[in-house]
Amino acid sequence: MSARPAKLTRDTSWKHEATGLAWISPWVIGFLAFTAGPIVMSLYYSVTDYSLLEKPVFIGAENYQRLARDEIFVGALKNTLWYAAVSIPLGTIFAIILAAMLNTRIKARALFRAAMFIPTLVPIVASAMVWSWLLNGQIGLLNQALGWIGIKGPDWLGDRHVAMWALILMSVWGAGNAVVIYLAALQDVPTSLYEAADLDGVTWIGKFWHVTLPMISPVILFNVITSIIGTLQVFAVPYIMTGGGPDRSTYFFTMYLYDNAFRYLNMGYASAMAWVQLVIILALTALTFWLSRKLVFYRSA
Amino acid sequence: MRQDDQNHAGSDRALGALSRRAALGALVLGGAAFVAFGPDSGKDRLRKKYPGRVVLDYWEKWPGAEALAMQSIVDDFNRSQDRIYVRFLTMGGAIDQKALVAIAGGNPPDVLGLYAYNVPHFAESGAIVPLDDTFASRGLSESHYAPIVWKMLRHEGRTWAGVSTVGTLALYYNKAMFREAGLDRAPRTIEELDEFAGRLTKIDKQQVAQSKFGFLPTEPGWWPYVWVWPFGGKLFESPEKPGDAGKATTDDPANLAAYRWVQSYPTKYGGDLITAFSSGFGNYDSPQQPFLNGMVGMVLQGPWLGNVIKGRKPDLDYGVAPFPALASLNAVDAPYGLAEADILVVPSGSKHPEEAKQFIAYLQQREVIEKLAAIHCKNSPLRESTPEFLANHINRGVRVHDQIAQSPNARTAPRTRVWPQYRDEMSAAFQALWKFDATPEQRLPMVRARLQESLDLIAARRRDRGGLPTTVGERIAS
Repeated sequence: MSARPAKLTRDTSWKHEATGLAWISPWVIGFLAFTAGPIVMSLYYSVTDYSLLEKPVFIGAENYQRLARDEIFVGALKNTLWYAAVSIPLGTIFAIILAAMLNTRIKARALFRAAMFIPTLVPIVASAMVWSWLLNGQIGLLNQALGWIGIKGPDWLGDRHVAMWALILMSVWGAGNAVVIYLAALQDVPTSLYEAADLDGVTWIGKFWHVTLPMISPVILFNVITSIIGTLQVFAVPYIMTGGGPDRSTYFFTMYLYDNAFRYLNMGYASAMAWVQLVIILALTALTFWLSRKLVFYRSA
Repeated sequence: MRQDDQNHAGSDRALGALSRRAALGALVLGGAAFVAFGPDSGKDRLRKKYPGRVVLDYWEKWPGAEALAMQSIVDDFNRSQDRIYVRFLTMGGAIDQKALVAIAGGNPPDVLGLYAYNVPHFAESGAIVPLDDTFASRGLSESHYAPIVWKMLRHEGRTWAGVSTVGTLALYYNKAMFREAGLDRAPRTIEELDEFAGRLTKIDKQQVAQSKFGFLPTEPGWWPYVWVWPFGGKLFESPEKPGDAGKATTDDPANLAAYRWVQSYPTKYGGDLITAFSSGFGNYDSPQQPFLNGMVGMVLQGPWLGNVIKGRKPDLDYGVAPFPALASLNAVDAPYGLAEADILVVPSGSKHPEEAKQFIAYLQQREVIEKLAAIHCKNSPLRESTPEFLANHINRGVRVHDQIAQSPNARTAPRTRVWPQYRDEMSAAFQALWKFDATPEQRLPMVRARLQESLDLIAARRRDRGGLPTTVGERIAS
């Protein structure tokens, strides 16, 4: 009784597994060939001098040592961290405020919600082009609007001291995705908590601070972490709008990585940069989790 | 009940197994059928259509009208003989990057259209094959090409490329604006350029967009490194021996003087005012382009501007002259000017290198090259142009562009594989200098140091690799 059925079960379960694997094999093969393989190879290339065409030459940690004293790399890293440090909090606050406003009973609520989300549907190249015209120093709409209230707007993308702010402004405009997620979280906050707060005579600010924010804090954490990952890899918008200029004031980590990999053909150096980027992202994500221990409130089931 | 369950389960299993087997079988069969009977690749169709002919793939960067011009040349070639058929494929921008991946992956085209500055890197990496034998057997030598063009086809003592088109940069000036300012000829020296620019410039501080500028080193801003040559400067010294590092000369005293001159424009007219004025400029290929609409009286441009003028502002009364140099350089008869070329190479791993070389050699013939140059509105890359080519050219200043190509003072981008990095460095430096964030004496030595480090590193790696393979094929075999 025991031997045969057990074998059959094993056979059946193996067949099930094989069938399952066969069906997902296109993904598995694709993942191994186009994601896992390149990741492993890039780790190897990061300790070599490799230009794509020539044989990689093993050079140990030299690429990493060079990165530490490469002024352009350090500048690009500083720019990226500064951009993240400003745009993530600003984008988060802006998105929460917008979501809270859209969560009230205003007229044409659906229209406003759609309007908030539309920027995320616009192809990034198109929105970057439109923004570069909006931010034009002389004929841009933004400076014209500032002109009406007597302010002489700067040359947003041409001045190294304000170009970064122009990009931050644009990143905040694209907060529609986060708004939708916050809106869903806000609608999930039990009304009984607000009713209890009402009975205690809590003001709307008090309710927002003591009820809403704690209840949506896991969602804020999720959005902040995805923003950290996304923002530290920012590429397309500055690449199109400023090309990293003026004088590399908006030159970001991923742009320098791309230039080294595909334009200067320092693939080994670029691979080292990619691994440094991964470590930075992992470290910042871990730090965020650690900092959030006492700030994030998880409802028990 | 238990029996029923078992029966059901059994039949479900049988059905499930059958349908799974059938589905997997169908998938495999379908795949096999697609491979066996599916549509031919474009190349296979051409092979069937032209039996007995070798089908070559030729990748080129140009889209639009420039691609159509090359297509007509390719059609001429395909009609001219019955052994080779060339399939012309437009790959768009970043063709060098696409080609590198294709070559490294072992599936390159047979003929590849690159930029002349790609030659050092592709040649040193073994990504392209030398063409010396083909050139020798066809009698194609230095005497066939304008001197600067010949230089661009060669690297470390060998010929690596044929040329498709070339353009030299010259000074375009608006004759109507000149007449209005009492000027009747183009400036011949930098000193005159500044003086003429001053006479043409009319600033309206209230309506900045209504101002007119004689000359701006930022317009069109495509060559931020070009100013060193009219000051007798240099960007790079090639190494004595192939494989050595070469020397970045970014902070040569003449270069410092050139960038002090660049800074004299925002000093004289106000950087913010120029920025405000320039932000209203339209695209290069539009009637709002500042030279076309009379906002800027003189610009540094290539011969292709003639095509834009013809299409966008045919009544523009313009003149063309060599870009002036310092009076002390006495460059009137031997003008300075940058030459840029589009070139043709045979990638390593080409399936039909001999036929590819034959096609490139065909394109080097005078009548072919002049036909392409005329449609692209560029000067000829050859040492001598036919009178018909010069007389019928769209650009009335084509002779000036030709004179620059033949001049001993014509210049190319430095022949080093770090050029893309060098160009980016110069571009960032120009932006910093234009805004007075640094002086040339502070910034240019930094650029030189960074580039020299890259140059030294590359030379060291070449030594580490123990010399270089001739082709990627040899590298793979070794």
